[in-house]
Amino acid sequence: MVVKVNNLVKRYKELVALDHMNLEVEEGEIFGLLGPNGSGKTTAINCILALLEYDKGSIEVFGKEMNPNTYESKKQIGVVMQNVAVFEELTVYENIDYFCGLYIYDKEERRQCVKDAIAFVGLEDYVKFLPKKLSGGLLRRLNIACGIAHKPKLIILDEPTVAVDPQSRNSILEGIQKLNKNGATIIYTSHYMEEVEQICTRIAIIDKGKNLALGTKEELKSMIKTAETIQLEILDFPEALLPGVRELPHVFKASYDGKKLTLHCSKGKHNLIRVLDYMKANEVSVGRVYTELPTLNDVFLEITGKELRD
Amino acid sequence: MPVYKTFLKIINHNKMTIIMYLGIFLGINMIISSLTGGTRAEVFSTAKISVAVIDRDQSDISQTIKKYMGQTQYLKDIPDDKDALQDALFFRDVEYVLIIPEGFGESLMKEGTIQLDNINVPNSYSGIYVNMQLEQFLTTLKAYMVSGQDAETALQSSLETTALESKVTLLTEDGSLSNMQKYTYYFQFIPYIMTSVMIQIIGTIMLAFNKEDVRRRMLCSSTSLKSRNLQLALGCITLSILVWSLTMLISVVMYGSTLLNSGVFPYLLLNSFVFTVVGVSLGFCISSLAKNQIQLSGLATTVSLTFCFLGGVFVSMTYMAKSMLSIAKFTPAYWYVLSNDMLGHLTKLSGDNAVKFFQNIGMQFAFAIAFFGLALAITKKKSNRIA
Repeated sequence: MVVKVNNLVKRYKELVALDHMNLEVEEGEIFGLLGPNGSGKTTAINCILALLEYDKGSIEVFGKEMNPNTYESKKQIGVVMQNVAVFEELTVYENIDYFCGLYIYDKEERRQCVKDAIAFVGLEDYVKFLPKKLSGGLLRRLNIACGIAHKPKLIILDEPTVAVDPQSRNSILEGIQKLNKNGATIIYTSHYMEEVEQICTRIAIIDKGKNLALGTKEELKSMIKTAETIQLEILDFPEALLPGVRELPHVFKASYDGKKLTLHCSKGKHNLIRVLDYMKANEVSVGRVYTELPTLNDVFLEITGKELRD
Repeated sequence: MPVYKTFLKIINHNKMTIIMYLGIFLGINMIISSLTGGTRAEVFSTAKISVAVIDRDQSDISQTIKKYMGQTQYLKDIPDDKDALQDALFFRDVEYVLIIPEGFGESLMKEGTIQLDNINVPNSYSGIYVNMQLEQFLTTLKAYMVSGQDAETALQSSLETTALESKVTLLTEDGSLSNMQKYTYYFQFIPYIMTSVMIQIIGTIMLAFNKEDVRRRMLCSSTSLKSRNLQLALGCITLSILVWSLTMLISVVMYGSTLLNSGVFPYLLLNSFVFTVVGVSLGFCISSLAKNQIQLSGLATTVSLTFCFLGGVFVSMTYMAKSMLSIAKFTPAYWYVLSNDMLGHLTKLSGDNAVKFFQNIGMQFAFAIAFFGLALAITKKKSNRIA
């Protein structure tokens, strides 16, 4: 077990930021913390990193209780903060060298690590640049390089793709997967479900400081009733036909917004064929048809009653 | 030592700003010290004003009085005309007009009566002083005449007597000589340079380290807070040695052998170095409070000016009220200036003076430790779990 969070409670006066949160991160996995803004992701990370005092519970990292003075554990942790944390006065190389130097004191070893980190994030052409000369995406890459240069066993990334263009975002996500393949355990927080779904092996969905669900993406999706969502573009759908649609096998929810008929189906075969047959039988003209498997947003929606981005 | 090295790199990055600060403050100090040096009363000389003597008597006696006035004041010729006299006084060509009436000499010879007229600028102190001087002369004259001398001899004797000058030696309150050395004025302003410059420079560097995101990121690292603070302190010491060395080098260039052979040069060095340490610790402390460059500049100006005004850097302690001096004791500049003033009057430090000097050094050290301790406490509190 790399990280074990047990019954964690953190309060900001009246506000309960973390409400008896439990997490267990296994070695070698990419563990995702998914939740909307203000759900408690960063608070949880700050508690794990001993940056924040908590009211109740315990946190163990690499089997040792985490506190501000557990430098042995800290040595094996790499952190990429939500905001870019670099010195404006230092060049790209100097920044990475500085943060790496906080962990590795041997000059030669550090030089190699810095070189590797620069190559890893693809900043070879910018080593002598000051941060203010870098674009947002390059700055994010520098931030990551500063966090991973010392080759940590555990890397905590707190929303590293916020305000990053799609190209840089893909590059960052690929990099994280590469780090994981190289042996690092990753804790990744985000409110972008697509990212979490793309790279994380296990996901914890949190909201209002509570751990709502935990598992692989398949496990999470199987927890909810929706197994398939079918959408049909129909102009002037007769409202009278709606009860009939709801009575079709496996359909447990149906709604029409004037342009689109949306059907939520539980697990079962031939759902789409049965729906289309029904439309044909009732002489309803159908435009485009979409069918999709449940997403983490559906999971979040079904558990909390609101969308992830609300 | 990554923190120390980064500290030096940030100094290097800000070198133009640092050179600018140092240049401005040292330049101001050089100008002020060269202008201030020697303005304190070191030599006594009698003051003279412009006077006119209207001699309506034209006797030997009146001529002698005119001669006396010429010895003691600047004598100007003005016609014996009411308008001309009024104009001369109005335009301050003269400040005092002595009128010797007709028959004055004869009256003096026969009756010993001394009656003179004068016109002077209204409410003029100088007029009063000339009156007193003249009265002294006439009293002397009268004394000689009463003693039996004839008028002519008495006049001559009075002239000789009043021409005698006393040797004046200026003493300070504690009785030592007032021959303050010129270089003392250069060293006098060092507290202002060290507090202003150190707060600005160290503050600018520390702002980079204290930036919220960077600070949080460093707290996550395996380098302890103690180690980081020690490395930062080492960086501050390196910077202080550089600034102090430059300041001392300029003093040697400006005052050369006068300073080097003064006999107290090592003590001036020690005193200024200890105050530099105070400046560094103060800079370290202030920078842990400031959140941005604007706050830092405000604090630097307020703290350095307050300390230096209260501590007697700009205004001599001689002119400060006792209550003010009691408050001044709570500033490090006060103890620095005490030593500096003392060294300015000495050619050798020994006995009680040495004890006083090292007591003052001790007080400055105490301030340095207090500021540094306060800075560490603030840093510790800030790092003690960020919200």
